Order: sequence, then C-alpha cells, then structure tokens
Amino acid sequence: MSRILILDDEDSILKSLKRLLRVAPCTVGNKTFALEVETFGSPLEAIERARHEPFDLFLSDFRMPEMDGIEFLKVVKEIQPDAARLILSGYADLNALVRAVNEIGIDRFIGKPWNDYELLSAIAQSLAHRELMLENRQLANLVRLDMGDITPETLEAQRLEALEPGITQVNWGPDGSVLLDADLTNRG
Amino acid sequence: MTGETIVDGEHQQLVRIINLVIERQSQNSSKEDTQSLLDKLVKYAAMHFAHEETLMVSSGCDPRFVEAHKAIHRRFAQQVGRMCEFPSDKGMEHLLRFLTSWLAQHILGIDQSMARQIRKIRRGVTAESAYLEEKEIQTDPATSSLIDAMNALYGVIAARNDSLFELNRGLDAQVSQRTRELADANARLTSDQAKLVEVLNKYEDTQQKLLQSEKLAAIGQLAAGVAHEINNPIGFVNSNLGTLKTYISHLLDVVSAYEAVGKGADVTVLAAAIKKADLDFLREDLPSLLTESQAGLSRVTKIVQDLKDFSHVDQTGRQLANLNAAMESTLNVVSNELKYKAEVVRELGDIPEVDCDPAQINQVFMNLLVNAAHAIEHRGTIFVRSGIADDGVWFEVEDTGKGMSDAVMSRIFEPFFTTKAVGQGTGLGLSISYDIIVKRHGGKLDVFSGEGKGARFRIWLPKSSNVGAEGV
Repeated sequence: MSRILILDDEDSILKSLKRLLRVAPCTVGNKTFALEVETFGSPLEAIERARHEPFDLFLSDFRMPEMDGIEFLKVVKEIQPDAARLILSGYADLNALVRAVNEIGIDRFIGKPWNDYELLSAIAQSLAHRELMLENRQLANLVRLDMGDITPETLEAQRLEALEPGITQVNWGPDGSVLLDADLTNRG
Repeated sequence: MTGETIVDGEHQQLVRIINLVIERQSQNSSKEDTQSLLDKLVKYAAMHFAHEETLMVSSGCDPRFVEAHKAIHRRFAQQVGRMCEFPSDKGMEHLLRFLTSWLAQHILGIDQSMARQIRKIRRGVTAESAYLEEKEIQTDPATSSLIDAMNALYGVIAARNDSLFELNRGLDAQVSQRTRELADANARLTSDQAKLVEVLNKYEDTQQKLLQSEKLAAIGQLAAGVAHEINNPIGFVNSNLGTLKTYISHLLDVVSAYEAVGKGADVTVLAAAIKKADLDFLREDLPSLLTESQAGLSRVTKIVQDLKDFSHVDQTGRQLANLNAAMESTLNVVSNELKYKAEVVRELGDIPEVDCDPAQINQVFMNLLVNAAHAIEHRGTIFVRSGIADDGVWFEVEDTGKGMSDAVMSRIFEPFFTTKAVGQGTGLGLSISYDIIVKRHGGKLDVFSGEGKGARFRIWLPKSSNVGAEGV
C-alpha cells in the first residue's frame, strides 16, 4: 500500500482526485500501486500530519493562502526526504517552476486542468522511481557492510535517522545539558 | 491768344478737356472714367506740343528758344506721367491743380512769347534779334518777371518732384522687398505650424497607445491569476467527468447483469457486478460529483462574466454608471490576485450614479487594488471605501502594506516611475490613473502615506463633467 498526501486549498479538487484515485488503477509497466490517499486543504495541517505519519508521495497545489506549494514541499522534504514530491498547479509561472525544480527537486510538475491518465502515470512512475532508489540504497549498504566500509551501527543510525530525522543528532547546551527539540517543548 | 490759329484752337481744346475732367471729378464719377479722360488730355497735349514745336522750327525761331520751349514740354509730360504713376490720397486733386496752373502759365507765358517772335520773324526781323528782344521786353515788366519767377518756381517744384519720385521708387522697392521677406517668413511659419500639428497628432496618438498598452499589461498581470482561477474548476470538472464515465460503465454492467438474471442466468453474476460497482458508494458519491461539477462550471461562467463586466466590452464611452458596482466587478476580477495577500474590507457608501467612462474607471480601480496587494509583503488588509463629497463621489483604497517615503510619493504619478522589480510593473499604472481621473474626468487623485504606514489613495469624481470626453 503506497501512502499519498494531497494538498490543495480547493475542496472540489481534493474530492475529484480522491474519486479518481479510488476507481482508476495506478499503473506503470506491469506494476500497479494500491493507494492510500489522505487529503488536506491547509498546508499547516498537512505538515503536522507529515511529522507523524510517513508518506511515499506528496502532491501539492502551488498557490495557497498560508504558504505556497514550494515552501510546503521544502518543509516536508526536511521531514521525509525520501518521499516523492509533485506539484499540481494551474498557475503557469515559469519562475515558480524553476524554483520548484532547483530548490526542492520535484519529480513532476503537472498543470491544471490535468489529464487523468497522465496524472495517474506520473504518480505511478514517481512511486516506482522511489522504490527503485530505496532498493538501490539498501543493496549498496549491504555491499558496503559486507566489504566493511560501513559498520552495522552506522547503518542502524541511518535507518533511525530516516525514520525520525534528527534523532541521531544531540543538541548540547553550553553547560553540557541536552537541549530538546524547540518544536517539542513548544508543543508542551 | 497767340494769333496762331492752330495753336489757339488747340489751347481752347485743352482748356475744354481740363474743364471736363474737373467736372467729372466733382461728380465723383468712376476712376476709370476720369483716368481715360486724363489719358486723352495727356495725348492731346503731346500732339499740341508737337504742333507748336513744328511751327517754331518752320517759322525759323531762334534755336535757343526752341530748345528751351521743348525742354519745358518734356518736363511737363514727365511730371504728369509721374503724378499718374504714384497717385496719392489727394492725387487727382493735385494733378488737376497742376494741369490748370501749368497750362494757364504756359499759354499766357511762353506760348505768347513764341507767337510774338514768330510774328516778328514774319515781319522780317532775324530770329536771333527777335529772341533777344523778347528777352529784353520791357512793355510789361511786372508780367515778365512774374512769368520768370513762376518758371523758376516750377523748375524747383519739378526738381523736388523728381527727387520725391526717386525716393518713392526706392520706397516701393523696399516695400516690395519687405513684402517678399514677410511672405517667405509667413510660408515658413505655415510649414512650421503644419509640422507642429503633425507632432501634436503623433503625441496624442502615442498617448492613446500608451493607455491601451498599459491596460493590456495590467490585464496580462491579471491573466495568471485568472488562469489559475479558471483552471482549477476545469481541472476537477474534467476529472469528475472521467470518473463518471467509469461509474456509468460499472452501473451499465449492473444493468446488464440484471437483464442476464432476468433471462435465467445465475444470481451470483448480479452480486459480483454490484460488488464491483460498489453501489452503496456510488449512491452517495454520484449526486455530490454532479453538484460539485455544476458548481465548478458556474464558477467558470461567473469569472467570464466578471471579466466582461470589468472590461465593459459591450458598453464603451461616457455614461451614467454606478461606481460601487464597477468597484465590485473589479474586485471580482482582481480577487484572484488579492486573496493570497489580503483580506478585503468593503465600506461602500450609498452613492449616486456618476457621468464617466466605466471601463477607464475600472482600470484605475484595478491599478489601485493591484498596487495595494503588491505593497503588502505577507498578509494584510485592503480597505475599499466610497461616499459623497462636494457635489461628487469619492473612493478610497487603503492598504496595510509597507507604505512609501515622501521622495517616492512625490514621483509616483511620473510615467515609468516604479519601485517594483523588472517585469512586475510598467511604471505607468498611476500615471495613467492620474490622466484618467484628473484630465479625462475633471476629478482628483490624492495619496496619503508614510514609510511603514501603508498607503491610502483617494479619488474624487464630479457627478457630471464636460472635461476630455474622448473615449479610449
């Protein structure tokens, strides 16, 4: 099951995408991805969700009130760097597109109005690409482990870091105390 | 009387013609008439002089006398000719006086002298002694010296007349020279003026084009926002239709299964079709799919209508317009630009209709609103107000943006002055707004701002104006 987060300030868009992904198969080659879709109308809520749940793919609108799609994807890239990132936008602005590619390395930029088939295959291709990348990394790590280039501890630390970014970094205070994540303390 | 028949007859004829001229002159008859009579007189005098000269020669008068007499004749013809050539205000009167006095003096003076000499020669006196005797004649010393004096006086006048004539001719040449120069200058001025008119026309043409291109640039800026606004509904309506197609094919499968069961097929076929179609979900989702799609299409329709209202494509030029409605239609179009930046607070008063060009006023509203949104860096508020003042209506657009310094404020109405990044603005928006409000509608456009204090633009328009009624 691939987990997808969709963000758009327009409720009707979210509903139509949900419908589409429910009925249409998300296929690339002969591989079909079963999808689990969560939709959000607010970037802040979506970020909050991304802090707690892993996703395989983020699909975001560009123009939104609280922050634009690029800022949103930048934030989630920090939280979940391995997830695929796509932009779905009717705002055909070249500057935005350049920023999206250069600043966050999006996988796809899909224009509105979209073609259902193209959207589905873009999602499927991004998911397939991500799977391949993760598999490659895992295999490379196994080889490195075999050859002694990497210790099992480092590998485990990397795995944990991927699960919970920042967990392997300790923030030391000047008096030798351990500082907790500002976000966590703020949230009480 | 000279005693010479021909000469006396001709003298009488000359006096008759002069009397006729005087008579004509006093009757105010036409110039041409008098002129032709004068011509006749001059010709007749010339003939008469010729006769006199022939008579003197044939009678054998002293050559000195003949020469002097001839000279007097020539001078007379010359003087008359000049007087005719340069007629003054009193030209005719002077000419007549000259003619009568000259002829009287001539007939009574030198002609009498000529006659006496001729008579003496006929009596056997030599021409020379006749001439000399004539010079020494003492019979009537008063008359003789009077005639001499008159001759001398006449000579002086003739000389004066000659120099006057020369002066006159010089003046005439000067006048014609000046006239030519004036005509040249005039021609240059006329061609200069034509060039100026041409330049003025070009300037007005350019001004119109500028106004038009600024409008296009502003619409271009809006286009991205409008495209986003139209692409969103089209996107989901289109996608919904695709999903609907799948739904319907599933529903038709269910219907086919029902038909098959009716024809005796196994009931499990129907159950499988129903399960595949997820009928319960369809029942719930189909109506909302259709409702949402319809709402999406209405939104597109409304955006198109807003654009039409804004641009006033179907109604151009001056008319009575409700500017609150114009402001609403502009807000609708610009809202796509504003909603990510600011909350719009409307405080529109009850205002009467105003005589204006609504398409142009909309352009001003749009400039002010877009500027307000650009002045806001993150998120702020835009106030839109209207009301009545001084036999007109006013509008205000106020933002909580970054405001501007006095230096910037003093230049904002200059063409091509902009504080926006390259490609963000033409620098013409406010300059053209000023042109539209102040020059074309006879209104006022004021700005109140300070650095970090936001900005407030205030428009005042008279209820009716006759200024610059040309349409764009």
